[in-house]
Amino acid sequence: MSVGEQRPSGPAPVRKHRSFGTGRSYRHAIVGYVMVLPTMAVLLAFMYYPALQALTFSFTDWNGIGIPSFVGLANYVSAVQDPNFVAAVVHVFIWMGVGLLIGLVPAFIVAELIFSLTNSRHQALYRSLFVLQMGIPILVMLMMWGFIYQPNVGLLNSLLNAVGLSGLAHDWLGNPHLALASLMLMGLPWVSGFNLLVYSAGLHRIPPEVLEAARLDGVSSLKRTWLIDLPLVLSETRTLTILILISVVQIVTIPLVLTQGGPVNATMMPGLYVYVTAFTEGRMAYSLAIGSFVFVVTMGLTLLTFRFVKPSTEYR
Amino acid sequence: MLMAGTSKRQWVVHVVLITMLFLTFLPYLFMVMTSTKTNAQMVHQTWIPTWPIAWANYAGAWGLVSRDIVNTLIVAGTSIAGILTTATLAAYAFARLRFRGKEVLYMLILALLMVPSVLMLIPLYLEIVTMRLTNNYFGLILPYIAMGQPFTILLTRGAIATLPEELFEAARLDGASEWIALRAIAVPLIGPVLISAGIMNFLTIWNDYVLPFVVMNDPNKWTVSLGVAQLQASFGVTPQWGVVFAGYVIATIPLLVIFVLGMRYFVRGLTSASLSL
Repeated sequence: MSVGEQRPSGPAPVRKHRSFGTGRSYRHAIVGYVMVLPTMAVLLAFMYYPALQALTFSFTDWNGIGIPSFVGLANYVSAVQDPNFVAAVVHVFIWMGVGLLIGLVPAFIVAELIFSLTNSRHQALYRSLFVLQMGIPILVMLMMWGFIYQPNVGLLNSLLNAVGLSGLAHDWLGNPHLALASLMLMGLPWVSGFNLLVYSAGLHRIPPEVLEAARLDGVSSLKRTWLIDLPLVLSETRTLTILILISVVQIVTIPLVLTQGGPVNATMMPGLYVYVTAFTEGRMAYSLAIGSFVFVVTMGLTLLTFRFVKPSTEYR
Repeated sequence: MLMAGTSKRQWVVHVVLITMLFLTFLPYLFMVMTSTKTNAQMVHQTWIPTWPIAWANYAGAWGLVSRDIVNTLIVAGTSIAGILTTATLAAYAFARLRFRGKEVLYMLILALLMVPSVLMLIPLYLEIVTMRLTNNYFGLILPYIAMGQPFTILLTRGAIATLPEELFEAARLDGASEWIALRAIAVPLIGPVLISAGIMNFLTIWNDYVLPFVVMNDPNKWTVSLGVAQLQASFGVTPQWGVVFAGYVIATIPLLVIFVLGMRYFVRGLTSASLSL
């Protein structure tokens, strides 16, 4: 770019030029805007515009084609009175609790177990093997768990029959009392590769002197885990808590491919309800109101978690 | 005595970890084992490998999922090239240049990390319909390029910001423009971060289900997620499980290979990004 060459000379233009700052920062500014332009263009078209449209059209009676007219909070009021939506909200809170428990606890325990190994090559090997799960497509994982839960040839029932416990065999995804639990508990033993990585990194950031002092004082490893390690990985727990809660609020694919939200709404989730109301019922504005609800909860959770879980014990 | 106690405890840890690993991968071990069986072999000998190996399953499955895999590779490859190019440009500007409104723009981009994709699903779908991009690769590529921006910029901006300023100062003194500094200095030095960002976006795109589900109605344009989800149903009431599982195995291989190749960079990039949240 030859911006510099076009700079006019003479006293007056130089003053004008100075109001921009130095020559370099003036050049910086132009180059900077040009470099940011492609990103902003694509974000404007495919993120800001649809997101704004979603938020604003949720206050109208829009059905996707016609001209929308403003209806205020009507869609939000009907959402609160909609038993399907209320059920979805109840499910999302149950799933958040279960999701935090099975997302954080096994990952932390396995991270501690790996951390307790004296051979660092073994540590790296175990970590890599657990992280390898992330290389398996989510849809393959879902379909395999769908097969595990399948009532006739499924693995879980075959296993129960094989050990003489056929009385415990169920239609795991077809029974309204079991379907939600079956979906939530997929992925046994729940050692998420990503969460494990985050906790491992946290444990490795604990200063060796602290661990050495604990060892010299004869603190048992269980007590050390509880009193030293756990408080010191609080910032990791905070990060993972946000990520888990956000991923649960946004769940669509799991019930969409395995249960379609059924049987009788037993596995309906807010994210899935956004899809159902728009694409199978054609209630666009209503669907956008529910999407906005998901958005507000996501944002609120992020801000709340940042406020309440203060990383007071961080080493930086 | 102490040594014996310690090494015994080490062995217990090994046993627990190996058990956890075995349980974690059990569904996939079963998937690979059953992919070589006929239905009769699966029903009668569910839990053990059987002979002869039904290679025909793989031939049949390849015919069912190869088209989906090629589609996904085209979409993912184009999207990732687009994401990395645009995000690196923006990240360089945010990390190295001074211009008015920079902080506001950066916060506007990061704020998108909080916007759930399900909120945008319907307006985005209608936009794609209006642009006549349904059943078109670009109906996925353009939204993917947008969706990949926030996290990729977060990663690459951080990496470019940690490079020493003297490198760029020296280049500028030699008369290099910002464009040359970006291409000749920044990009080679943040190679590992770009690889990890590429892999992360590849995972996201390979795993995405909902957007292709609404955008691609034509089975010839299906991505791998749609193909995998429909594989069992495509057989009707009596699926050939061996073929279905062979299809899952084939659908897993590209993702697993790319993930293993770049795992080192990916692990480093992702943990550093998550810790800076």
